[in-house]
Amino acid sequence: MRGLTAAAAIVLALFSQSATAQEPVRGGTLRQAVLAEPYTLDCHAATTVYVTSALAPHYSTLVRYDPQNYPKVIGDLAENWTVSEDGLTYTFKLVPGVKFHDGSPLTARDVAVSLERIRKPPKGIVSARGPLFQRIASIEAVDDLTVVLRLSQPEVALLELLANPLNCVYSAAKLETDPHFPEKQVLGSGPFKFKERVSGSTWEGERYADFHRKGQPYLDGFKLFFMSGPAILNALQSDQVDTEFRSLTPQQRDRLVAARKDTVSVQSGTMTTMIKIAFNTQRKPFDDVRVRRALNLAIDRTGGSEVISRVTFMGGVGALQRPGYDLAETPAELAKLPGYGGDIEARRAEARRLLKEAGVPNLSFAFGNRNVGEPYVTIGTWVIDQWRRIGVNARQDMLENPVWVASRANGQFDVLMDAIAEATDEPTVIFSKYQSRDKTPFNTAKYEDREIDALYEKQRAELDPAKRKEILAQISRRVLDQAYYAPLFWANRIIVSNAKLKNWKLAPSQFLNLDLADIWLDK
Amino acid sequence: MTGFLLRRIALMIPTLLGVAVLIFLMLRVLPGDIVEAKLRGDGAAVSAELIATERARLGLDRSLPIQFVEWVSRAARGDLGVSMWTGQPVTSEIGLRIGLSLQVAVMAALIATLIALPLGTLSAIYPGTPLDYVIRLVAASGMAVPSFWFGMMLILMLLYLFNWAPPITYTPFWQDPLANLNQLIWPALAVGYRYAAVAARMVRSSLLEVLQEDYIRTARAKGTPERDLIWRHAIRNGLLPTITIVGLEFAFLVGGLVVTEQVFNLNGIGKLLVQSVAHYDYVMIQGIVMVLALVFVLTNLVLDILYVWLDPRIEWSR
Repeated sequence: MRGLTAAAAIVLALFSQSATAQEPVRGGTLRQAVLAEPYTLDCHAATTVYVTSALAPHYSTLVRYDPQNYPKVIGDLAENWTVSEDGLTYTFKLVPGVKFHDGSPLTARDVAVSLERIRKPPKGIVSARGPLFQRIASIEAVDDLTVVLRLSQPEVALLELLANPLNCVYSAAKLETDPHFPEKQVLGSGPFKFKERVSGSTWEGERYADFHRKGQPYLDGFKLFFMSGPAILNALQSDQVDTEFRSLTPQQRDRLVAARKDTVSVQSGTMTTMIKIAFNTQRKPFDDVRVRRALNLAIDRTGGSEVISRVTFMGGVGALQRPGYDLAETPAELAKLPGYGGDIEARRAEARRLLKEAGVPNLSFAFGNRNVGEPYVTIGTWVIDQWRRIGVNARQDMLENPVWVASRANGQFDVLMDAIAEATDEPTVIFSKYQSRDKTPFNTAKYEDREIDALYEKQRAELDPAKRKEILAQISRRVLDQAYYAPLFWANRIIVSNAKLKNWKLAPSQFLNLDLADIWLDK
Repeated sequence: MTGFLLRRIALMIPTLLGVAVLIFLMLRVLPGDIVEAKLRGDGAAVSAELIATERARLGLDRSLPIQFVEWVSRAARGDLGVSMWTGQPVTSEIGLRIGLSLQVAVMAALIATLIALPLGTLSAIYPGTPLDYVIRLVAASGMAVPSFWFGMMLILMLLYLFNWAPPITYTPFWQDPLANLNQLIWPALAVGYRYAAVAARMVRSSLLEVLQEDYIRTARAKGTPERDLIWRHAIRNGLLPTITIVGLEFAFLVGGLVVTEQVFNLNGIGKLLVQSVAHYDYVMIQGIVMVLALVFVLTNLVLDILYVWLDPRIEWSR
């Protein structure tokens, strides 16, 4: 009996502790360090995490990723939705009574006009995600609370495509007056109203009392501090900011934990950010698949991971999909891909043979890299050493950001460091970048491969996850067999936050969980 | 004096025009494109047509002479254009930051002068003594240590000793002097140390030279007290090269604290310049360079006036 009582007491204590821990606390301002300022206020044109950090708290989207249960998609403005049997019609019912921050009502028309702006932007408007909405044939506001999306072909990832936090819903009335208004004014229906921006320094938002998710947000407001390099770490250590949601390096984490002990909490995991090498398939000798294969085979990813993950926030070993993602290769499957399995010395011997066969045994070339020390230059220096081991001499050219961007777009390079950073693991998004050069502007390697194009389209309609995974594996195999790219490392995201920050869960993308609606600060 | 000032001001115009031509042309020959960087930089699927439209909107499709004439004629009226990256007026972006940069430069100049004058003078008065060696060692260290590194060490020391770091946002002096100094004294110290080292060496060498002059020997022979000799006769003449160094260093500091501003998270001109270069924001870079050039020529004007005031042999007519 005494044992039972003790057990009951422990359970009760745990329960009450848990209940206390889960009880949201109101008030306070979250202070967040952000590496750069938003360069645009128009979500639809934006692709960076910096824009997302500033704008996500101000805007609502139709659906969103569940902050506690990624990759599940839940409603934001949508209260619920139904999908027709043929998978071609999606009907969304909206939460009633939603208002923009200026007090005007948000209706289905606002949602329809905003999504249409992304799908088919008016002249002069940039839409970063327009090509992913190709299969949406029409968007219609049936009544004030109903939006219907009709597809031309099934799109298995439609909800995930809609859940991008940058698919903001704007006021249709404002857009009619001026299609450029989102570039000039922040007017959303998200958990926080825009308060103030000090160029080069800070961005502030304050609690929106009429937010449609009852009780939220818990914070009174948030403040972003734009800062870089060592300033972020110093600000975290001196408790001038509560967190930085991109990633720290392992050394930075260790320094903060040593200095602040249990006043900080740490979360870490892989992230949908990857660094890869692009070979320009339009230039000699990289138009020869043997040369590209040799350069891919020479890279010891497993060995390099141990070193790179100690000094940068990169180091996850995977192919075209984030390691650990449901549809990604398992370690055993990965080991069968070119450049991933087997003995590294045997691979390097094969690489030397291929180079000799291709007539370039002493290959020498310019390797363009982004002039950003961590992680680009660190990893670039490492990969040059990998190539040196097969007798290849690569000269690292440090490119300032605009030159690097122009090189990627225009193909003005031999071999270039390339990168992917996405809001989701969804293959329709990730693999879109591996389509032929006439299908996507992200084809840095400038190849044309109709086999990949066909497989990409096929996977978009495949409802069976196992079959879809096999199609995706075929794309990965094709990309690596042809060695258009040599994937290097995926990011290992490390977030160190003030221990008072509660209910923020690490997602495998730096773009997610930034609306700050359901987090709070313990007193 | 009025004629002197007018001549000097008139000479500024060709100088600034030369800077304008140089910066305009240099930016146009460098590789890279702001429109590509802005619209496609982080992976947006943007059509070639939209790129062309944006280039036209920014006026980049016009001939270089037309772009130059438009920019210079606007700049002459005080309108430095609109940032190609943020869409904000360049003058307001610079205006937001120039106060902070000027304040750090002024504080660093004050710190440098307060340290350099007594140390340099003592070193010159007692050459070859242990005191001279110590001062020279301090000066040599100041020149050898980069300001940003010294700044990082200052912050780490503050964090280690007090678990405190300087504030990360700027408060203007007139709003809260204490908060303002709390933030800016540290970068001013970090920069001021190197600045002081350079100035102290200059004070020492020019004073040593002046102390060998005939008129000093004569004054000493006439029984002028040593203190009067130093303060009334030697220092005033020895200050000329020091003032040149202090002035030029001051002008450099207004826009040259690039790394130090990042270390202390200061929203200054140097940081803005680096960001603009990274974005290829031509209009912003041109505007900042012109403002910094103006600071340089104005500083030179002040130096010229100070020369005449310090050395009566220099006439206003020269």
